[in-house]
Amino acid sequence: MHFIRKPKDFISGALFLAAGIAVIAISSGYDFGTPRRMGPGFFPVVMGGLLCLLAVLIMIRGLVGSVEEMEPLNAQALRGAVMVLGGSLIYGILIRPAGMIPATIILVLMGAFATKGYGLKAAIVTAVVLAAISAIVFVELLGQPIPLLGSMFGY
Amino acid sequence: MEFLSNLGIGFGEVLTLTNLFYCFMGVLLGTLIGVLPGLGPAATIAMLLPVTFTLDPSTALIMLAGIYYGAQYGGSTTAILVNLPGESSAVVTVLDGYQMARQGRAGVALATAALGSFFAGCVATLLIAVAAPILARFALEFHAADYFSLMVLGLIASVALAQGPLLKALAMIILGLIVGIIGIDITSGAYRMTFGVNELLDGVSIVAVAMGIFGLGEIIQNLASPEPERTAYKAKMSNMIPSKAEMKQIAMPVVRGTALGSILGILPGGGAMLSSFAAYAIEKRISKNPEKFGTGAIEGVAAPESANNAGAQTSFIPMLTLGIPSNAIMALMAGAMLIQGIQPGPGVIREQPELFWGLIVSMWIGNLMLVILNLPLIGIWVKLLTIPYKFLFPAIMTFCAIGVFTLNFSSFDVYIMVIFGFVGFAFRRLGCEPAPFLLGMVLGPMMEEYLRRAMLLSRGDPMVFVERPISGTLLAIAVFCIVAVSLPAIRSKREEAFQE
Repeated sequence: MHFIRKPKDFISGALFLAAGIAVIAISSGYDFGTPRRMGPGFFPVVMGGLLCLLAVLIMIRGLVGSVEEMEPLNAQALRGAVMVLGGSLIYGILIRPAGMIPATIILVLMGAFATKGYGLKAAIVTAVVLAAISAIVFVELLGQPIPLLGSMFGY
Repeated sequence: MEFLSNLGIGFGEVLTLTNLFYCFMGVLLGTLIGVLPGLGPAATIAMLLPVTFTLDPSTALIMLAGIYYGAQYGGSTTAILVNLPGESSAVVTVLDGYQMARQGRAGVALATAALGSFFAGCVATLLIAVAAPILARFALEFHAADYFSLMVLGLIASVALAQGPLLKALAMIILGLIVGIIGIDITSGAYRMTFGVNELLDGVSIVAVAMGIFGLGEIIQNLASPEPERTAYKAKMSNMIPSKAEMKQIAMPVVRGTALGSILGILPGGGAMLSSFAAYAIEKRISKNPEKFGTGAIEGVAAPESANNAGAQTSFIPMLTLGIPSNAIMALMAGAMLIQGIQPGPGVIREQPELFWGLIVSMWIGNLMLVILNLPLIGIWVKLLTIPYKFLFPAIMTFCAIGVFTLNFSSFDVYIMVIFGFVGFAFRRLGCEPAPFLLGMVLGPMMEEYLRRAMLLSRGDPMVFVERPISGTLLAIAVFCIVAVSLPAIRSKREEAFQE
């Protein structure tokens, strides 16, 4: 990869370019209007164009100057991201059908395995405590209408 | 006289049991998250936003504001006692604060930080009370074109002053502007970029995005780096009160830090962090013996701690008077106001005087609570610091998940949070700071509306932006900002300044 000197710049530029093109493609379906009477497509198309322009400049900058390598993605960072984001995603999927208590327990368990140094026992205790706290604070005290146990359990 | 009656309105609003209670909760929570490294005010405010929907608008804002300036008090405690910044704006306090603690002057350092912050808080509150109405009256003269240019300037200046590569930050802003307009177009009723998803008709939730980027993003960042050793400095804090000589030493740095922080707070991109860095750099430069800095110079604690509190508070001015958030936290505050049905801008003072003056007076009362509370409670804060991060972050995850779900009782917002948590993670790895994205998102719909109105009034002539004196001047400053930052000489200076 001698050609790409700064992969950080080149990749982010490429992502911005892709986003810009996508925005223009989607928004060209909306009425563009005239400068005097701007349609719903005017602003997104113009902004998409600007984004493409900046994206190309960023990509060019990634090709010139001194080499700056990207720091390698370490396993711990990746594990953290996957577990934290994955746990939250599963929470979103489970909260309606399973209810708040099971969703919270799974969320916290997945979070616990985002890092080293959690024993299974400590993780379970943390999960149960946090599920209890959220049930008491959000459902009992603040009265938020979230089912503690969902339809999956016959509620 | 008008000024006094305005303050009277403010006191009338704050001195209710509810508002005093939430002001107290705000500053207490602010101090708590300020003390804890790895949990910042942006993530906390995002997490608590859903809880505030049930509150009165002024009560909600009083509490959320308290979190921001309260965090400035808390951040210094960790910096001085543990050699770790509790808050990003306390990074420079670590340099001299911890050295002072090692010399057995921890109590004096803590008291200096608290007193400096309190002085700065009082001055900044007064400044808001005096300057905001003038600015708001001035802003009422603004036409659509002027507003548009003001937003352009605000966005550009916010990235020019902040750290990081300019081009990428500009691209992040534009991406934010585009995401901001997703949903039903208010003028034409067209569905834009909704992909047939009903939940997107009202737009992408700013709160969900902020929780993803800041809440989950911070956790992912913290987990990636090994936890630093946290050993709180354990010594009896017998003498908290600075001696007469020390008072003399800190007086001018506190005044200078306050002045600098007040100015930098108003500027777009400013706020607590920039203010503290600049204040430290200036103190070091003008000091007769700069070699003292880094070895426990009391000025190195006094100036940045005053500056960050002043900056945190004055950054409310552009948001409240012009409707332009100057940093990510103000973007969230603007979001909180919008959700409560209040359009941030010059109309706030006129139409909601109780809210506006109540918020200002609450800042002064909050500062008073902080300076009284902070010192006696230091023992408790130090105990809290012994809680390892591994027990803290699952709790943050849980509160983020519940908070974002309760926005609309819809899993869709949870997915938005996850998506933007990932986007924030990916862009941070690519060297793109996500904060400008959030600013763009908040301003997107407003900018489009002003652009549309300006162009309608000018019959489609874009020259209106240059020809109107206010708009022309604002755009000229914006161009100047870009040119100045791109010049190689200044660019290296800027990077140097942030290195310090």
